Amino acid sequence: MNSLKVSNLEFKYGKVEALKNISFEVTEGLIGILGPNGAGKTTAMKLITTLYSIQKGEIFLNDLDYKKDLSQIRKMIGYLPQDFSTYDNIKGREFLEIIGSLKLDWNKKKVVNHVNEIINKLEMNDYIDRKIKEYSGGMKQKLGFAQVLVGDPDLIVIDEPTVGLDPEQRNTIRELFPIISKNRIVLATTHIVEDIEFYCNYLLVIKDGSLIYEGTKEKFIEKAYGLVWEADVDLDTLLKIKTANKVITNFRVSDFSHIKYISKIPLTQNSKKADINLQDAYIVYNNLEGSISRI
Amino acid sequence: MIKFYFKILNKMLTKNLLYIIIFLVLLFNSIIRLFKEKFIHIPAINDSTMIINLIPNKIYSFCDLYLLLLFVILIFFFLGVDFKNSMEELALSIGGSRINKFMLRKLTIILILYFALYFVSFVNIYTLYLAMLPNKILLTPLKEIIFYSIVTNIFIISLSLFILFLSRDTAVSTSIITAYYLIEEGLWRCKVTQKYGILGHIYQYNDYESGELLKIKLFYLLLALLLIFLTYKLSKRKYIFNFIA
Repeated sequence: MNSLKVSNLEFKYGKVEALKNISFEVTEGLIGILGPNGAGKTTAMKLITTLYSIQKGEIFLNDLDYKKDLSQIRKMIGYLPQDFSTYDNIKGREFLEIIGSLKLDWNKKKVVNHVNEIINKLEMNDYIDRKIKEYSGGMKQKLGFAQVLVGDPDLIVIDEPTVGLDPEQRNTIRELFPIISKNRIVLATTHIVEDIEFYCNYLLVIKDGSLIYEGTKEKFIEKAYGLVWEADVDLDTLLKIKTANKVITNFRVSDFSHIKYISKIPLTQNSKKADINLQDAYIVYNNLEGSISRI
Repeated sequence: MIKFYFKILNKMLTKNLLYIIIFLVLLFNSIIRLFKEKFIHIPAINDSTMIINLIPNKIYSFCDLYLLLLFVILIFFFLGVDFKNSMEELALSIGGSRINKFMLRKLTIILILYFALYFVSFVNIYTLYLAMLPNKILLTPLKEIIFYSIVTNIFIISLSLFILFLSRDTAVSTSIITAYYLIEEGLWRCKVTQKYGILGHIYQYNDYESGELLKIKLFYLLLALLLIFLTYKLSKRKYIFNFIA
């Protein structure tokens, strides 16, 4: 069983603290890392992918120490950076062969066969022999997903996989998660909750450089339950609620609005506890001071 | 693997770029061969007792300035492109190595091509000199020419790589190396450095005595090794703090 252990990780850009004492341990499956832009997710990913040197703390992948076993660890990683891009003038297949030449010891037959397996697995045969400059945004991102599978890595890190894609392309990309997360650790960072809503089984939530939640998706939602209320309100009441509270949804129905809002207590007599999903729970986390555990 | 990487490099920036470069360098060599009198000037000797030692400056200017600078700029473009797309991050994080294996392989291919073209050009111009020299003129010993030329190549290539990895920007690196090597060293012949009492890395002989020149070349060889070491250090991680760009 593959495992990734992060202990007391801290990182600073000059005097700016990007990560504050982050610790967690995860095993195989899709692990979603949620957090708003600038929360420190990408910095954490750059450390986990060995791109940055560890300033303080420790990281272990399958008991290999990031500070000592750099070469070995780099053989075990697959990485899809944010805003993935490569050389537009080459073909998709050639790009995968470049990655193959880095990941596997150069044996042309081995690389070609391995790349073909991945192309078939992700159903990319229709366009893989076209130049990358002819790809749509979704095709390019799928190529990025294909390259993370080269060399059959134990840990895959995916940074903001659906940014810049249209809704249909996003769905196509999200459907790749179960394919790539079989028998390995997949860390997917995003600020778009829908990216990981259906397929992730474990969540890490980062805010202002600190880890504010670690656990299952269900528990995450459960902890936020009771903090989201729904009610039918008129315009005046809605404006009053809005002044001090976060309104998650607002459906206008003739002369009243059906709203969902965040509060520790109900603010109207007709308010009742709302059913919530991952998106609602995430908004609760981002809008109440401190973590839900503290609430 | 060399064949595969050559194929990729040949189309990475634009179609058949390396073939175009090979063609142009060979074309220039042919032109030099055809119009040798216009390219190489042999001094006239009036005093029949005097023996002149001729420095083959055209070898240095063609091989160690123009050809070298062309390939340095190619290195900037072929490696520098990885700082702008995702390739540097990918090659480092998944390459299974402490260094950027991908950039190293690309650099190796470019250097192999460079040294092949350098060799052709060197032999072409050197043999022209030999063929055109009258009896009373001696050419600088071949060993000396090769040693000085190699030091220049190693120093300029390592300096260029260091600047590229420090600035992480093709345009910045090209401007710096052009200003330093083409203008300061090539055209101004170390005017600025000499003015401030700093030894210039030069390829012209006339500025120093023979022993001094050897010392300078050895100093720059050591400096080149230091720059290679620093570049290796810079290439191990994604470099966060950008001092120049």
